[in-house]
Amino acid sequence: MIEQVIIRYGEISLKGKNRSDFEQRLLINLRRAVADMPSVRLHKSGGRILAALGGADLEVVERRLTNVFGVISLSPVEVCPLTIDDMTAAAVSILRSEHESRAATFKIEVKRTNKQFPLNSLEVAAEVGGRVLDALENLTVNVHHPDSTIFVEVREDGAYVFGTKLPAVGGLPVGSAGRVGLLLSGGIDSPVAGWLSLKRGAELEAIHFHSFPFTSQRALDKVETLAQILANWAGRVRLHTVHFTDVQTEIRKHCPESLGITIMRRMMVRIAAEIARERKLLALVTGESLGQVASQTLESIRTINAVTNLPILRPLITEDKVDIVKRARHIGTYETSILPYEDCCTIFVPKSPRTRPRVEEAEQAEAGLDVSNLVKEAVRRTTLKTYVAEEFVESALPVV
Amino acid sequence: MAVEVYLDNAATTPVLPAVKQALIEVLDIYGNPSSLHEQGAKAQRVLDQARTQMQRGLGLRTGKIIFTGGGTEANNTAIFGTVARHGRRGHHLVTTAIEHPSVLEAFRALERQGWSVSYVMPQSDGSVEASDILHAVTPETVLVSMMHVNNETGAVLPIEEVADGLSAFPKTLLHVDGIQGFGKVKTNLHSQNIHMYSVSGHKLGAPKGIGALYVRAGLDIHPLLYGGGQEFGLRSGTENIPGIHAFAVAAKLASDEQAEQEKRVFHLRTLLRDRLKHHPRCIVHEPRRVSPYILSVSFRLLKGEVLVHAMEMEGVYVSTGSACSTKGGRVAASHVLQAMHVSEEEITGTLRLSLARWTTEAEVLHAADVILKQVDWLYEVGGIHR
Repeated sequence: MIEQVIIRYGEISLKGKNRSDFEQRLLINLRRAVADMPSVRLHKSGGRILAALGGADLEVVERRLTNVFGVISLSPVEVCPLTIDDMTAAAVSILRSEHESRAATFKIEVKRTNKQFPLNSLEVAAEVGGRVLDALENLTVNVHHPDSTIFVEVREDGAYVFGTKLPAVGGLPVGSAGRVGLLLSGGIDSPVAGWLSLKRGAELEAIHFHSFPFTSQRALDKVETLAQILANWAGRVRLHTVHFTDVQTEIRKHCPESLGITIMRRMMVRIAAEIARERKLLALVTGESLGQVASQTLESIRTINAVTNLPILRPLITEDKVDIVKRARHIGTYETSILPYEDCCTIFVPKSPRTRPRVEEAEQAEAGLDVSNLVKEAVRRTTLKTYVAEEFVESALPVV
Repeated sequence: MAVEVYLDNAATTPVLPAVKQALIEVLDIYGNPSSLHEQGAKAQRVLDQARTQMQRGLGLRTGKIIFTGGGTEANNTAIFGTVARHGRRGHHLVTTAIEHPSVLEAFRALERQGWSVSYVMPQSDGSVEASDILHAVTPETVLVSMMHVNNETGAVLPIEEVADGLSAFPKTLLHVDGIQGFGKVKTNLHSQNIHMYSVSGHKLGAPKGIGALYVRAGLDIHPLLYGGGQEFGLRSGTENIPGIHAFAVAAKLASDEQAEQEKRVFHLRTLLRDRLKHHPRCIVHEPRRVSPYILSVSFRLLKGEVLVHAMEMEGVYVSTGSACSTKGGRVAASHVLQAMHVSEEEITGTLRLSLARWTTEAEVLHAADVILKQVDWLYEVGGIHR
């Protein structure tokens, strides 16, 4: 019977004296992920976390825990009394479930923290290995490239025997790296950029620019769904919805069409930076990818970036579209992102957008705009909603 | 909020107050018409009465009315039911390129099964010539399916001429998708060679989820659904008594006033069209014979979806060229306007305004003002001048 799961976290252990803060954060996030399963108990145990199932469904627990940022791998564990017979029985049952009666190679790897146990690691490995060979016909030993490795840990409270390591999502626990503001459109890229910053431990506040009637209510509904999906990963995501219509019409009225998109992006960054100041966000995050569209050339990025000295993180900057799409599918945002509602923020398709706008040109083109008032007014009319993970929706978290 | 004007009645209509009342009353009649006891009998009486009322609404004394789960199901039943029953008569089918997806996609499915299908193209004004349809028919043609009124342009198709012409092909059956026609334009089925006619409740002030197919007396087709044999064996499943009753009430209200309203609404459409035509950038799609209930106009360079939301800001609800077609994650350009060879730029800026029997002159005039105002605002924001 599998009654325990070992949860490993790699990078956190590198973090010196902050380590216990990280562990505490991870433990909180893990507990949240199984909050609706009260029988599951989690506790720290020598550089890793142990989950005692208490009768909960192993598959469900595995699925939930592998999706918590900071976890690098899981192993379901057979915990047995400290005798060679019991260790052998556990190893045999794991190997049987992995290979049934097909031919395969294995090795036994032993770690002994309980120095009271009469045999040392090598002796335990030899004893258990020998008995496994006797018990299972088609198995042979291969210590260099085994099909299966059975880990036996000899501890104070019993022997922990486990086979496969399930890879998990990795990264750092959400909440361990400060808060960032994600410029979230309804497209494919920005939710992925947000997910990647969650993965590195950031807390997320999304900022969306809504320009009814140029973008639709349904596009906003779509963004709210995306915020919910990110919240399912993060635990909580806040969404700021900026009323952007007036800014857009002012740009159309006062600025040359060829620089419309550049100036629109500059206004978005200014407004986001102002929200960041109010909300104490340490950086902005965008889904930009170099060269993907006209506003994402280096010249263009530089010209847009020039309006703030807040760091702008661009986790997708070197990614190809196909890889971004792959990740979006994996995160579960793709199907929502491709819904066909108007969300591209353009009233008309500009006839000839400048692909390499210079800073001075943009500044000149903005001369007719009352920038500070537009920003102030847009921020004043921004609304805030909070999304919390839907604990009980299994499908909300895809399998990694 | 300003006055609200709903001009998207070809997509769906609100439930009329009289229909709502009838619906509430009939909800107490909960019996299953197949039950032998009095509760069942009561429901059976509601059903019989509704069927008679529908029949009269369609101007018929004979033939079967089969209640379905909506217009799409009625169309599918007609097409697949005919092919299943009479498929041995030939291997050829005829329809038009401007049908609703519930017809067009049914034919595409049959094509994948090996049927040969002719899709008759419209004229540039959106109308379809009877002679073009009849030319496509051969002695091998099992079924001709055509719409009565096109849902995007309002074009009225020559169903009478096609029916007459088909007398030269006694083995070919004719199905008419009458979903935008019934209760709105003159519908005369008993005098013609029309074998099947589909109708839908929610285009006439009844709730969604109820439709009907008329099948001419003596014609036998196969069902899509098998089961308890309700609806003459053509649509098994316990009857949706509230929906059927509501549909019959709505159909009666529509057909009682059909002739006067057609005239009155024609006047409203002309009023609306002329106001909009006044705008130098407005293009009207005007089929030769047109339903007074649908007006299709285009404002070049504007985007349909943005137009819809700009009207919505002022409380006027309209639709883009076609209401419900998305393909592969992108809004697909209207297949109807494409078949008419309307330019891509013009298709993008197309609005469909659809009226109802209860639309008033004041509403139309207000809508025209709002449309012109918002269109001008969008052009101004876009730096395009009248």
